[in-house]
This record gives sequence, structure tokens and C-alpha cells, in this order.
Amino acid sequence: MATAIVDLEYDQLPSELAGLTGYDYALILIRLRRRPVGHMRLPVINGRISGRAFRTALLEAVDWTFWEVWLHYYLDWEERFTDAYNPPTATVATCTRDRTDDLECLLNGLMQMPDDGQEILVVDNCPATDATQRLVERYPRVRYVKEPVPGLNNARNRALKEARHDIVAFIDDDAVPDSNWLRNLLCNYEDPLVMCVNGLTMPKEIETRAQEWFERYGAFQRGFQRRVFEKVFANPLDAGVCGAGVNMSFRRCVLDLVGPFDPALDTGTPTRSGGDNEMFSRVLAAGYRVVYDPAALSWHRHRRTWDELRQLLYNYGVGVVAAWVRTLVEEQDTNALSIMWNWIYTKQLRELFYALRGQPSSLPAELLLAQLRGSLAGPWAYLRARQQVTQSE
Amino acid sequence: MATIKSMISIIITTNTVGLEIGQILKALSEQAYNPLQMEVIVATNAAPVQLPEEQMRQYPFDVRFIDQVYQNSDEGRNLAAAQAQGDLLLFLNNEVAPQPGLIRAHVEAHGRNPGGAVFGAETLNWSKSLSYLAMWVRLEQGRRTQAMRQAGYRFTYRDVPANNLSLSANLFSRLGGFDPGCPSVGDQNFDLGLRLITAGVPLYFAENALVERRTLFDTEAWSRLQEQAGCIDVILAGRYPELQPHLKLGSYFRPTWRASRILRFLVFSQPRIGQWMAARLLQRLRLYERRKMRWRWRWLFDTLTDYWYWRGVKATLNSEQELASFLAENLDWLEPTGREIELDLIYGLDAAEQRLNDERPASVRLTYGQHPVGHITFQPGAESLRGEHLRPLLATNLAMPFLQALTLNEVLCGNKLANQTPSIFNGRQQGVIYADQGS
Repeated sequence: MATAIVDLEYDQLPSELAGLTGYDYALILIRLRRRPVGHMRLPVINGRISGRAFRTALLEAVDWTFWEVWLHYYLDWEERFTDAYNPPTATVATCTRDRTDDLECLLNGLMQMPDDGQEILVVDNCPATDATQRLVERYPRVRYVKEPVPGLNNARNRALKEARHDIVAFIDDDAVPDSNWLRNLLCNYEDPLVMCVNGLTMPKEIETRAQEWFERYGAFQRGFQRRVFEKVFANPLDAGVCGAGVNMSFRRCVLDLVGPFDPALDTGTPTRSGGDNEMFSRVLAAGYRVVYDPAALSWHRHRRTWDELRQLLYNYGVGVVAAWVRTLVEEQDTNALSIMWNWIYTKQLRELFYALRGQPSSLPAELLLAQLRGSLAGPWAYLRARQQVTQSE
Repeated sequence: MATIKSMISIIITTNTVGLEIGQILKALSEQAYNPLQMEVIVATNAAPVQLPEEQMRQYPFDVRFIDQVYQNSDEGRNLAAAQAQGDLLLFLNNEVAPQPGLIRAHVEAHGRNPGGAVFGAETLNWSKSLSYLAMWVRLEQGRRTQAMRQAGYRFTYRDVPANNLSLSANLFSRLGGFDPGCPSVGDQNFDLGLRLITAGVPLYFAENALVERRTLFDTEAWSRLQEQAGCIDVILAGRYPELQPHLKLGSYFRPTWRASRILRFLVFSQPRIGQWMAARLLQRLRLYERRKMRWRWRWLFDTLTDYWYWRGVKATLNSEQELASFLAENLDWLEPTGREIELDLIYGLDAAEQRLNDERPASVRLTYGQHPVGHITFQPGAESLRGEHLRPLLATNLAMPFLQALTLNEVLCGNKLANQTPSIFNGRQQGVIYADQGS
């Protein structure tokens, strides 16, 4: 059930889509003046999608975002920033561990971006070999730093400390940036209260069943509408809607104003994930803004095998709950209890119930069970991770 | 026209709470502006200022102290302005510290925009742990500053501060200065703002003209500010009846949430019980903050803000009946005033903007060919419409009707647009939408 990924500019729509032999579906990203405004998933018949099917689907796929973007171009008006704004220079950081194939694709993609003076930093987290270092040596513009303490959040903190510019843009080593990714992230920092900007991440490929289901799970999709989150008096713990760590950026001063990424969270620790969401929550709770801008687009290679996907969902379950336990323990914020209960009851148990009943739109019960098991293991995972960090200090 | 050689008089009013005047003078002496083109006049309300001779000699500019007694800061500003020798007047107080580049930013703004009033901003509070109130104030301040930085922002009288404001001495004199009978609310002077706007004086926001607030802002200061706001709104509604529907004062009899209704009732009928309840609720507010019950904190904060405001109103209008009569009295004055024009956008946005700049109407009816787009209604207290205001309105409040009009015009009238038009439209048929400029 392979799905072709097609990237189309609205002003240059073809009369039909051909050359899709071998694919059952096509996931089509629609752009307007290079800005993503919507997407649609269409069946491929004999390697093509007819113009009629395509345009009918397009009518339903485009929503207010499309019209808003079109209107802003028509009026030559941009809400986000003033004429006088000069976007800052940034450090692009990727944290990696023994994934040279993916990293090479990322570095090639970073080299294709316009050079606005950005620094590119690879943080190699507790590597088993020197393969990453040798790879990075082939790219003179890229700086290599080794972080010996295992843990993705340790690597992120190291990136924030090593960065030479005031904005640090993180991208995962299994993702590739769009050509204007960095510029579209940086223009959101005109507002001094914006501490974090996240972008849209689309799949780079959907070749396997696991990748298909991950995309249906919601993956990194947060929609095509630019949103500014200011949740200090709402619910800053519900930060998953703000974006994902695969494509995020922060002001460096977040280290001083909000604090570093928690080393007890995310990959490389017993908590396995959740470090990005927890940081978004803390930024929001401190009274700053987080922006989600779909114009800052990157492409991600989802996990290919079913086992990897099941493990990933388990990891998400652990990490999400572990992050809330961290908030309960470190910040004494009892709102974490109610959000945990809602997450387990409405998100987990209810979806599992629908899946077991065989509802067509549900995720496979096997995946939901993995996530639920992870959620239940979350609190203990956090306490173990916290103990490890304390011992290592 | 102000230039970097213009003489500027910096007028500082002081109160007992605030920075030592020496700290402010030190910050002013570090400004990158010719000290021979500066003078500083400090109005102290007869409070003694102890600055040693040697320290006074260190300041490169002329410093004078006015030790007359005055009723409020606005009167102090007027007294100081009367003695000022500068072409430009810059008003500050001792609760804020001038940041580097403040004076130059003001002078350069006047140089680019002669004949206007220029105001700057406060730096945001970047402390690591802030109270909820400080966070809320910072967010509001950030929101306002960000809005004012956008091209096409339409200034209102509520944007004009009494602190970090500069205007020419001539203009200040023509306007009659500050009115001590309608004093400032914190750092905002609504009466001066209204007079500036009524006189058609252009307003400019100089984002690099920064001051840093050094005084603590707590719930007690906030409650005093809200009470002042209540008092001043009564004065403003009396002097400018067209403002009344847009002031909080005019909302007393409109539905609101129960806790607010109860507190409002107590303000006028049982003020002591109201005070007692407010004190208990304030303790509850602190408890919500300690327990991080954020949305409850926000709800209670809004309720208490409302209560303090009406307590200010009660200082002038003693009962609900008096308030009702006051509001009813001004109803006859509630006819919209100002010129209205009709603009057809089919002739191009540039032409529409030019017409707005030439005519500066109070309200506009917009069409696109035969299709209505919207009605930008008269907004009391806001500057007259300029060309710069048009595109932001079309992109936001009037986006849907404008898009409908563009598409209907092409579909029904077959008129081609100057720019490319989408050939697919998935819009919904709606009536004409009137822009609400009051929010």
C-alpha cells in the first residue's frame, strides 16, 4: 500500500497526475506561492490520477487557510512582521547517534538551503563509532561536537550552549528541510515574547504499512494554519498541539529564562520521549509565546517496520506521561493529574475501545495497546530516569 | 522640524515611590545626544531632593528643580513645561529608567514625522520567575507594542501615554497642556490622547525609544489603577459623550457573570460588604496562584478588576440610579459624527488608499463594483482613517466579504482582476459583514 508523495504548486497544477506506477495512493501537498496550504490523499488508478478526480478533491482539500494566504498575497500584506524587521541569524542543530545514512541526507538538504550566514552544528550523542565524525568532516560548513552523556535532551542542551547565534533551530537527523525552512522559522521571532517556533513536518516517503499508519496516527501534522500559542492562563501542559521536536527552534536565552531541557526525558533515557513537549509546556507556563508556522516545512522519514512503529508508540506513551509526572514532581503543578487522566481515559481507552469494536477509522488495536502500556509505565520511567540523572551528577 | 540639533527639554515628575532622581540623571547623561542641546527639569512636588554639589556638576546638561506643590503629576508636568526652553518636550517620571538611545529615537522620529506626537515603549520584564500578574501585564504590553509596530495600525486615544511621550513645545502649548481635572491613569493620559486625535495630530510609535520600569507592580497598584480608570471614565463620558458606548462605564447594565454582578451590586449598595468580599477573594487569588490554578486565577483576576473599576466609578456616581441617569443623559449625543465616504475598490487599492489619505474620513462604505464589501464605522477616539489602514482591514475583519465580492464580480460580471484570481471557490454565501472597530 505504497503512497507517493507529491508536492504541487497551485499556480502550476498539471491536468492530470501520471508516473505513479507502483503506488496505490498519492499524498499531495498543495502550496500557494511556495507556502503549504493543504494536502489530500487520493487513490491512484493504473499509475495516474485523472484531472477530474484531482480537481474535485482539491475543492474539498482547500479550506480557509488557502483563501487567507491568497488574499494576503493579493493585498501584498503580511500580518507577521513590519518592513523594518531584519530576521536574526541562526544556528541549525541536529542531534544524532549512529545514523549516518539519514544524517547524510539531512546535511545534503542543509547545504541546499540559501546561505544567510547560519551556522550548522551536529551534536553526536554518545556514539559507538567515529562514523558520524568522519561524515561531518566531508562538509566544511558543518561543525561537529561530541556529547558523551547519553540522552537526546543532553545533546539539545549541548547544542544550546555551543550555538554561536541567538536562535537555535533543531531538526531531526532523519528529516530534511525545505529550502525556505529556516527563513520561515526566523521571521516569527520579530515578536520578542516568542520564545519557540515550530514548523510543519510532512512524510518524506510512505512505502510501508508502518509508515502509512504512522501518518494516519497524526504523526507530526498540526495543520496548515499559522497559530500563536499563549497558554499561561489556559492549559500550558497541553502543549502537543504546538509542534514537535523534529522541527523546532528556540531563542538561546531560553536556557536562562526557562531552564534547560530536562536530561531525565526523551530518547536515551528510561522515559524515551517527551522532552520536546515538556519544554514547550514550560515555555508557555513561563508566559512566553510559541508559534506554529506551517511555512517552515521539513520532510521526515517515518519508521519503516511494524516493530519499530509499535516501539515508537510505546515510547510516546511513556514520554508523554513522564513529562507530566515531571511537571507534578518538579513544579508541584497538580493540573498534571487531570490532564494525565484525560489523556489515558479519552485518548487512550476510548480509542482502544473503538479499535476493538472494529471501527473503520481507528488505529490498529495493537498500536493503541502499545501506547497505553507505555502511558502506564510513564511515571516509573520518569522516577528511574530522575534517579539516574541524580546519581550521574 | 526637529533635527539632531534640536533643543530638548526632559521633564521628569517624581513621586515618593520610584527611582532616586540621581539614577535617572545618570542614565540621561549616558545618552548619545549632545548635552548642550538638552535640559532636564524635575518637578518634585516640594519633596526635598538631596544631591551633592559634586554630583550635580558631573551632569553635562542643565538641571533645574521645581519645588512648587501640585495636585497631581499632570499639573507638575504643566508647571515644568511652562519653564522649559526646548523646542521639544519629552515627558518621563521617576518610575522608569531611560534606556540607551531614548532621546535620539524621539528626536529622529520627530525629524521623520514633523508636527506629530511620538511615544515609545517600556522594555519587557525578562525576570525568570514572575507573578501571574506580572506575566499578564507583560503579555498585554507585548501585545500592544507588537500591534503598534505593524504598518497600518490605527491609533486610539488609549495608546497615548503621559510617560515617554514627546511633542513640540508649540504643539503642547496650542493644546493647552495636560488637564489636571482629568488626570492620567497610571502612565496613560486619555484626555490628552483625545485632544491630540481631535486636533488631527499624527501619532507615531518609536519602538527604539525605550524605558525600563523599575517599580514593583502588584495587586495593590493594579487595584488603584482600576479605581483611577473608573473615575476617569466618568469624566471622559461627561466630556466626550460619543465615547460612552465604548467605555466600560456603558456596560454596567449589560449581562455579565454572576460573581461580577454580585460585586457590582455591592459596590453601590453595600460597599463595606463588597470590600470585605474583595479582600477574601484577593486571598483566594493568591491561593490559586500558589496552586497554579491558572484559568481560575484569570477568571478571579478579571472579576476583581471589574470590581475595582466600579469602585472608582462610585467615587463620582454614588448610586446605581445616579449612574443610570448619567448614562441616559448622554444618549442624545450618541449620533455618529464625522465624514463618511464611499470607496469602490474596483479602481485599485492604490487609488483607494490615496483617496483615504486625501480625505481622512471618519467612516467608509466599501464596495467592489456592484458588490458590497463592508462598512468601516465611525470609531470615537480613533484617528481618522488613512490609506495605510485599508489593507490590514481587508486582510482581517473584511477578508471574507472582500473575497466574496472579488469572486462574484468575476463570476457574475466577467470582470478580470488585475492580479491572478483562483478559478475554484468554495466559499459560503453570507450577508454583508460590518467591521466592528470597537474591539
